[in-house]
Amino acid sequence: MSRRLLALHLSARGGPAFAASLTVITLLAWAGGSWLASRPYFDGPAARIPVVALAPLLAVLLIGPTLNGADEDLERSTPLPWRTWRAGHILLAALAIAAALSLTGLHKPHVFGAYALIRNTLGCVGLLTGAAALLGARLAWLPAFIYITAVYAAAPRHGNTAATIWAWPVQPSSSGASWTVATGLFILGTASYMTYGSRPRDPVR
Amino acid sequence: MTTVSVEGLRVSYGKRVVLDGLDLELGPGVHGLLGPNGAGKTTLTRVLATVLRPDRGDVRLLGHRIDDHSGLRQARRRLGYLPQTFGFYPRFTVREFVEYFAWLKEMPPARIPLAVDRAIERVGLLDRADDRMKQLSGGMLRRAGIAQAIVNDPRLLLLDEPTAGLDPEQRVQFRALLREVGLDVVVLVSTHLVEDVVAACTRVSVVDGGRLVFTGLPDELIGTGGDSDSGDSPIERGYTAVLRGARTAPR
Amino acid sequence: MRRALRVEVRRGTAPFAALAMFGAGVWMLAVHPDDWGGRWAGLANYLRMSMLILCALMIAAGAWQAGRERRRDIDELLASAPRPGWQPLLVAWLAVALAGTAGVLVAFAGAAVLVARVATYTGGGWWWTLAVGILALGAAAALGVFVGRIFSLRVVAPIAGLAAYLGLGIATYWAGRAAAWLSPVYGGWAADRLVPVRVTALQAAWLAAVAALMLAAAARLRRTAILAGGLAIAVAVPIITGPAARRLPADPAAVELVCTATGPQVCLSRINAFLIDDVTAVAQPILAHLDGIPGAPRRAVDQAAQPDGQPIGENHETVWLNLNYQSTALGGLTSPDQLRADFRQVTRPACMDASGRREVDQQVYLTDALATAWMLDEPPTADTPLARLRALPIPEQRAWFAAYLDAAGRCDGPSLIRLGQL
Repeated sequence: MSRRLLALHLSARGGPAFAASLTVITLLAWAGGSWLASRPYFDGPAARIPVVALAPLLAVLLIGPTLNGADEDLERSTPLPWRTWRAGHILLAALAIAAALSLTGLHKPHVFGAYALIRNTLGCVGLLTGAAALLGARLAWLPAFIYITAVYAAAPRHGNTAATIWAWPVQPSSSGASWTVATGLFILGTASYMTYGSRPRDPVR
Repeated sequence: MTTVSVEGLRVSYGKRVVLDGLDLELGPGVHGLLGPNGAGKTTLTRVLATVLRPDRGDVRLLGHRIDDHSGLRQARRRLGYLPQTFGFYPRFTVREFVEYFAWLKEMPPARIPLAVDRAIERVGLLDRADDRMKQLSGGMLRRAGIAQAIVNDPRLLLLDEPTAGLDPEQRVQFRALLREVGLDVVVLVSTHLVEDVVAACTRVSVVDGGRLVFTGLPDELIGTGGDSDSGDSPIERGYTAVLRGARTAPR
Repeated sequence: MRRALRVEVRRGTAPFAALAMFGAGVWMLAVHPDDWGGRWAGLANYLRMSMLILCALMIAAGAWQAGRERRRDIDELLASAPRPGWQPLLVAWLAVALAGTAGVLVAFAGAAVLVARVATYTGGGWWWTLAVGILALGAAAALGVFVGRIFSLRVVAPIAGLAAYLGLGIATYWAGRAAAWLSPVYGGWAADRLVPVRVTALQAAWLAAVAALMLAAAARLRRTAILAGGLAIAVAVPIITGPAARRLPADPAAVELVCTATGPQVCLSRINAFLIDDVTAVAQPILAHLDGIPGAPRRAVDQAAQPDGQPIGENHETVWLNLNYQSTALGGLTSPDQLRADFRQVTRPACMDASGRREVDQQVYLTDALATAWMLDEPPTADTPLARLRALPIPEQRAWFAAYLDAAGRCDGPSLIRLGQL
């Protein structure tokens, strides 16, 4: 019964479309990463920063529409333990993305490879789920989108302590501070989404 | 004076034929359009609203053929339409929403402010005119939808289930509005609520299975019903009698 | 039209677009003030650099706005209205484009106030760079409107934005090719360079044609779309076959030298002249320290004024200072240490092999470091060669440095190693 319910839940939230898009993004990330790493004017794996910063973001944005159902009020009126379901939903999605993307970065995993992809997936999921709790699933993509693109566009030239914190998505995976920030965001975002769910649409009505 | 004339109308979605060989003539007055779910009421309304292009048939609105580009535009200027599922921009205020549609209906800019106020007043939303659409209740939203439909003083007003979501008092007011508008305008009201038809309509048509199976005065529809027909009111009995007759008759 | 536009600007995606663009503009400006401080052309170029994120945001905003009709189920009502479909579309685009552009310009106007306080050169056609940037924002919004019309899903807005971001990012890797002019993102030319009028005009025409093409395609105006597409191709061809961005001519008025009147001469190009007091404070003591030593430079000059093709170090009379990233937001010097580091070119041994690679022996390198430390008057630590050098009488120190310069100029390894053994 529970497996049937899981299948229904996944298809209600657009699971198949998510899986298909994730596959496409993974392939693109792999192709883009290989292309960048083979450019002569870059020093090897560090060239993959664009992929490392943007591929997790792109994949995580796809979780956005799955964060609430067609009618959130209707779903919440059911006796299902929604907190557990929400937490499971996020963990499953994060796991799927992290697993798929880290496959593309296994070549030299420590310098901007698999580890950094996993870290950025965690951070982006945190931003997205936190935003879903605050702004609703419709606009959940916005903060993560703006933050990551802004950080990437303005990647700091000189590293200092403050930069390793705010520019966590473009740090090498050896930077402990960046992991702390990303994990913190993940825990915070997932916890708030788990507790409050995505903010209901048009609360007045 | 006929302002809407439809001849040999055929509409299909893929293989499913929704309207077939439908003929209809409408003059000024309030026309009720009755029929079971899936009978083709909404499809007919959408064709008359020029949103749906028929496969076949001749449609003339207000003297313009709708397959002629400039005629279509002329007809649309004098057309008011409220779809069954009615979308809106939640951040717009009621006034802005109606104003925006006045612009879309190519009203002369100088006439817009007054026309907008009048339309909002006629649906009784003047005190909420500067509230955002998303703050309105379901009934108010529908009234805002009616306001956008009548803002351009249409000669042809198409309302698809306009009374859904209105409370009894609002429905009484709405019927009064219909009667007032219908004095010199063609109003087509598609509805499931037969009492609306008795109270507000000068003529009534019944659609079933994609064909027009009855057209006449409400009293004539009532007259077709016998005591053996199901229904709680004379017009409901008339309505079921017409449907039963249409279904047993050979096509 | 004006009425509908007013409503869209207030209630559509426009206010959010303005806010997001303002935020992005402020953020970009705050991260790298050294790219734009004190220079009008630098500020305009920086706007174009920021196009990477600004265009992505505009595309997202356009897609969000244009997907609204279908998401909100309002296309049915729109279809029954007599007004031709391209007009509401145009209004929607105009609202987003105007609001977004206004947001960016407000952010950049703040920076412009800071620039205006100190800037010493106002020419250079930077406003054309700015104008092309504004056109690019309009074109980006149009592209977004087109995408939003085709796909009404909400998630399409960020995905289209990200895709544009990636596309523009990849295009910056082409900076060496002429095709890079098709991207509105700044191709990395220095603030003192002049973009040819022909290129600017073609770029503007290209962006306008793309905007028209996207809007016409979104409104399903086939003939207009074909016309605009034809124009876009017609403009793109001369851009692609034209010259690339790397070798742009210097703006002669911008690189005109402004020199100090007293003390050892320090000359900056006019565009960087607002830094002259700060630079003089760093450069003059070093020049004074070297004054009269045979082979030592007698003046420091802004590298921007260096004639094209002349490598650094050719002219021993002159030290070239790189001031490209040397201005703070308020117009001060970012890094005196960086400026002092530019003096290393004086002491660098001229040891290049045929391929231009510098092959230096470790001991030669130590002597180089010693000479540099002496030149820059760095404080010695006890019992190092530098301390021993400083312990000599002044004339002997100067003679040592002259000998070093002579040996370094000839890449005389043995002499350099001997000089290092103090």
